[in-house]
Amino acid sequence: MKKISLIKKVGLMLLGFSLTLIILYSIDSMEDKSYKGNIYIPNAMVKEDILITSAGQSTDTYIVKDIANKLMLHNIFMPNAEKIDIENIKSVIMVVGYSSIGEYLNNKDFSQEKARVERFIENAKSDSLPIIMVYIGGKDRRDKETDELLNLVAKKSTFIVSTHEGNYDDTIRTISQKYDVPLSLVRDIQEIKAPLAALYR
Amino acid sequence: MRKKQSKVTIVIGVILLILITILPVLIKNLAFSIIVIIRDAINMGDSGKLIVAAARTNIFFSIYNILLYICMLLLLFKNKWFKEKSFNIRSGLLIIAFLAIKSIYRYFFIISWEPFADLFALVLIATLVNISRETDSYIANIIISIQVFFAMQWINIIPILSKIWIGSNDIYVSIKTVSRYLNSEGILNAVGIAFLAPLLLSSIMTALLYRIHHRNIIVVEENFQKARELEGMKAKIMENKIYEEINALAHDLKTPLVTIRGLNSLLLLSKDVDKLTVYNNRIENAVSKMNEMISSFLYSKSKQVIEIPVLLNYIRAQIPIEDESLKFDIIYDNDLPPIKANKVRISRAIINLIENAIIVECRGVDKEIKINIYIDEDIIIKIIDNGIGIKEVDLEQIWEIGHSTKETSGLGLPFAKQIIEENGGRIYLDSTYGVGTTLTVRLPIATEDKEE
Repeated sequence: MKKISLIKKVGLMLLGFSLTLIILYSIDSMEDKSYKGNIYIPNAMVKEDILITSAGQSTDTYIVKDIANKLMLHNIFMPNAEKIDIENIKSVIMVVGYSSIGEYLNNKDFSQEKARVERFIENAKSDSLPIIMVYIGGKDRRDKETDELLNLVAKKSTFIVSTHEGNYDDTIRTISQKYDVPLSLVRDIQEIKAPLAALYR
Repeated sequence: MRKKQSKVTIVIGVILLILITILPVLIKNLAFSIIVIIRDAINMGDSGKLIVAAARTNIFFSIYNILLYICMLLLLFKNKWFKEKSFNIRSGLLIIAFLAIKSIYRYFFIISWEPFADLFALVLIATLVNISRETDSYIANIIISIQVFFAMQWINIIPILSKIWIGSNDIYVSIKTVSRYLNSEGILNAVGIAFLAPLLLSSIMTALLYRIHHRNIIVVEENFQKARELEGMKAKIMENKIYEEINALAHDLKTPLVTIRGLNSLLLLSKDVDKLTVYNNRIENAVSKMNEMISSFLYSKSKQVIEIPVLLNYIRAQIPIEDESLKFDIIYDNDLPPIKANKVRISRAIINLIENAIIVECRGVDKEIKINIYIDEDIIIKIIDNGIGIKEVDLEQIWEIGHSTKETSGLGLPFAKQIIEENGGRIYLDSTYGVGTTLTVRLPIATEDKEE
């Protein structure tokens, strides 16, 4: 009798855990927005050579660099780019995503990273360089710091590319409308190849 | 000693607290190596590298959580106020303290802040410790927590659970984002579950094993306690038996006393000097007899040379053989050599054996008891009855104190055995169920040396 109650206890505990996960998962799925199509990019909007840099020092920047390489786009990869690095550059891709570990490994804190991003954008703009803002961090990466960087970069950007998941609460669409920057939302990370290729075609 | 132990525990707890404070600062290289592995996974398109990165991250954060848990355990469990609380309150406080420290530390150090996974891990540990019944054992707490923390860390790399705020730490987000890019979410889901499920199962098994172990210890302790109680009871029963024997002796002492009183009254009436001498000799004999009996009883090691007919007379005088349905036969040679033993005690032992034979259930209408006495190196006394005998299963326990097949005190046989052995003899029992029982007592013959 005691054995049965013990098995019941363990079973109920695991069942409770599974049910909690299922309920949370279902609630979250109900919030999913319907898929919105990409905007059509008829002509190339920006030119190579590209400087790929980071705003927030996340590893997402490496993914975008890999995609650019696969698209055979001529690029220079500088996660901590400064004014000196934009010489001979025709356009900039800024990959937004705050990473505490990334900043820690670069011996800086968020305010220092934010100041660098602000400085870099001002310099890029003064050189009339188009900035493509890319966000692929999805829902997981969206926090206060990332949202701050998204706002900061978006207002000086020429084009925004993001995944749908990253725009789960419509923030990125709102930002793009607020600063009147065209936005391309893609289904997943692999799909950002399409808008990037179209932008540099 | 206890105070010293308590101090050592607190010192270890404080050392652990310092260690978990400085550990994240010391692991810059580890964090860097994980980022390098993630970057290599992107460059090479190798999702295997992601699993390596996930494993390294999990091992580090598991160790961190385990150290923090042990630290909390050592520091809180030594607190008197905390110790007095019920297990549920203690677990709740421990969970709150654990999460509070992590929520503060996450602002200063690289640690995995996964409140949902951590909370579930802590609740699971508390439940399993409760199931194990080892709520006050550090070792059980630590062993279970190690398994649960290692298991629960793997939940963070499962991409399917990202939507419900599991695995929202920076490194986990990076790993899962790259897995989406490499189309290897399925692999991470499978790997996460493959580690999570068996480790969780192992923690549950550990808790159950602890519970079984705990129950076994209780049973052993109970058995030990019962054995001690039984020993105590046996000692008391034996003591009662001694009182019984004293009663028998007191009864025996009455016979010479009555003789003395009778002769004494005759002394007053008699004027014949010759008769006075006879009475006087008889009184002297009665006093000697009493003295001998008392000495025999008081000094259990004292032994006397006893002629077999004398011993038999003494025994016969004390056995209730008036029952007509009882046939009592004693066969012996008159020229048997004497034995050397404590007369009163050896007589009581043999009386106990005969009484046993009398009260045993009999096969026929009449109870027949035969006593054969002969010489075979020693003096052999055989007590043969026509009772129902003893079952084979009972034979092994027949000499144990308290064991009885007839709802008696179960003291007769052990008492007799003890007395016979104390007097240098041996006793054997041979019984066939449904046939009868033969008790053989072997007593040493009084040699010249012994007599001296």
